Amino acid sequence: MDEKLYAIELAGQCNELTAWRILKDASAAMLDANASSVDPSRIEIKDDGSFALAAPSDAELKGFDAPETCHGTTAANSGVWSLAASLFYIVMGCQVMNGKGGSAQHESSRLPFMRSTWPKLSALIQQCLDYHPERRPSMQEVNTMAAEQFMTCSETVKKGPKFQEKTLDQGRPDSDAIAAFWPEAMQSANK
Amino acid sequence: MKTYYALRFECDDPLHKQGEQLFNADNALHIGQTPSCEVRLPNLSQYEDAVYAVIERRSNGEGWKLIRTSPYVEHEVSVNGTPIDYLHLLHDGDRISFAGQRQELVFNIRQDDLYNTTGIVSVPKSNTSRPLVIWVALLTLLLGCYGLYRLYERPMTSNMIEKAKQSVFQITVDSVKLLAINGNDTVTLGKSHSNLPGAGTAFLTTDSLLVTARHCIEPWLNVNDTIRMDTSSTTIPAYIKMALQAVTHEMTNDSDTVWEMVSYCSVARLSSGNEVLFNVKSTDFFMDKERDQLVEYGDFSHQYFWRSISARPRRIDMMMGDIAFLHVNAKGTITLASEKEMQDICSKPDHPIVIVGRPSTMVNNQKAVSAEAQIKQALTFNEEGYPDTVIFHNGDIIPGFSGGPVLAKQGFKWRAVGVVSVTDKHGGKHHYSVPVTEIHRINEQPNKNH
Repeated sequence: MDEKLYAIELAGQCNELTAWRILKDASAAMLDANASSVDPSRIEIKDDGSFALAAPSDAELKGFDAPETCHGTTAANSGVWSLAASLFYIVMGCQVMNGKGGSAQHESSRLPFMRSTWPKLSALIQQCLDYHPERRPSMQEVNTMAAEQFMTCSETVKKGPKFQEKTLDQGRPDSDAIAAFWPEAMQSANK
Repeated sequence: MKTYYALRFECDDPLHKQGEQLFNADNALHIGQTPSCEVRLPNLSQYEDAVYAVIERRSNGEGWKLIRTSPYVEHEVSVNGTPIDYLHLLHDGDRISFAGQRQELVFNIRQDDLYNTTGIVSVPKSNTSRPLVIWVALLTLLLGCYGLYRLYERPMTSNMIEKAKQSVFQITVDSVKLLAINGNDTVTLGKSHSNLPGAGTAFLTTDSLLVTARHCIEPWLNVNDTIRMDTSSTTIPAYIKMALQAVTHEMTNDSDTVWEMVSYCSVARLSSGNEVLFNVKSTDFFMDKERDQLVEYGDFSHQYFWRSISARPRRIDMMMGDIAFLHVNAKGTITLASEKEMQDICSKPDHPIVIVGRPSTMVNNQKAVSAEAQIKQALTFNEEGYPDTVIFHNGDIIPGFSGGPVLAKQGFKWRAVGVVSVTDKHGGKHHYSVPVTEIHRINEQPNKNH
């Protein structure tokens, strides 16, 4: 790829397998870098299909800082909130807290649940977005769970997509029973 | 002038023609098999419909990106032959292809006045500029006599096919009932509106006949090995059981009460039942039941019968009874071939034909689709001049085409010669259609069956 690509370009169109991959790779990178904040424009898509953390720039997106960071302090799990908010944006295509980000969150804010069809990922992100840092899982716990779920999801994807449900007929008669009436080979049409 | 992109379809598929284009700028464009996709691709696989990809504006507003939405290798998306993992920034001339699809899309960035709206614009084939059209018209004028001769010899033109498509509709069985009729008394013994087969095709003729395949309106006639199963099995759909009961009652009971299967159908211009033109009953149709064979199954303790229209001594005799027609109060654009025209057209193998149908996977507001094919075996005719076999041909027939017209051109005229009936899997693309002259023959019978 000539131009670097970032996960922000996937916003709103990400599938579950990719979401787990982003969470796994980005949480590992944040652990390595001891980062306390991230945004979707800093999660780089590498040529090998993995995700990495790009250095902060002047063009950082707003709204991905944890609520305590917005109020001037940084906790041990501030990065977890920031990563969860970034993943929320990549999956849902909009920022948490009705688009307003961490600064709009307060103690009684309702925690968002992304998709009922992705219960484990949605529950994890919901936990990570808790207003209280001590109630959030650690970055290591996030990474461990993301790695496990990415493997599970990969195995499921390898089995292939769901088969169509078959009805008796799709507007065209099946010829299986025609063979039952005439088991002999068909008369050649080419004389 | 607005900067936008054009997506050009590089080949024919059941839903698109080569050369068709889409213009778009700011709308998300989903490419896949589901009805909600703006670019719909056919699903001829065993898998559920999928959305392959989305084309959207980049997050910085400059240019466009292609995002792969399905993680399955069966839904892989490639650009210029290289599979993409997650997304690709689109450049002018990029070719987008999809696993399991013949279709390829070419992405071109444009800036001209051909696109000046905010929606997605569909452009049929051949969006030539005006000066080119004028040159083509002049050339056609100069080559007039030669052009007329070529027209005479050519297969059906796209205008003819489009005219035919105006009279091709979707017919759907909405419900089925088993009635017990004794004189003027009618009792409903059973009814079903679940697990009914998918929609088929019906067409309207210039002499106000609504024509379809008999199995489209009598779906219990579909030949299927499930009828050999235990009739108490719960896997047999209710309407099949009702049909078994009806025929078995007919064969084993001497009472005056007649058990009759009736289906209630809707004929719609668009899919999903939109713009219903007619509501009809199967018993309204004319059909020839003399070719039916009653097949006996079971044993002495559990005897049952099945009415089949397929059990004939020779393959090419089968399904001749698979036609039904009805007089309606409307006029169509499709003319049925006469016996003489049938002999002229269908006596030669490899005569080109066009099959028109309404695939059951069609999205709303889309017209019927057509498939070009050839007759593969010359018809034989009996002493009265009627064909005595089904028409054997090839073609890309997909689910929902049953009951659709088989059209052929002879000289300047085009006619319907057949009604799509059945496909034989064993031979690949081998299809059988009922000659439309069966309608003339049935009309001449003193006691036409309903």
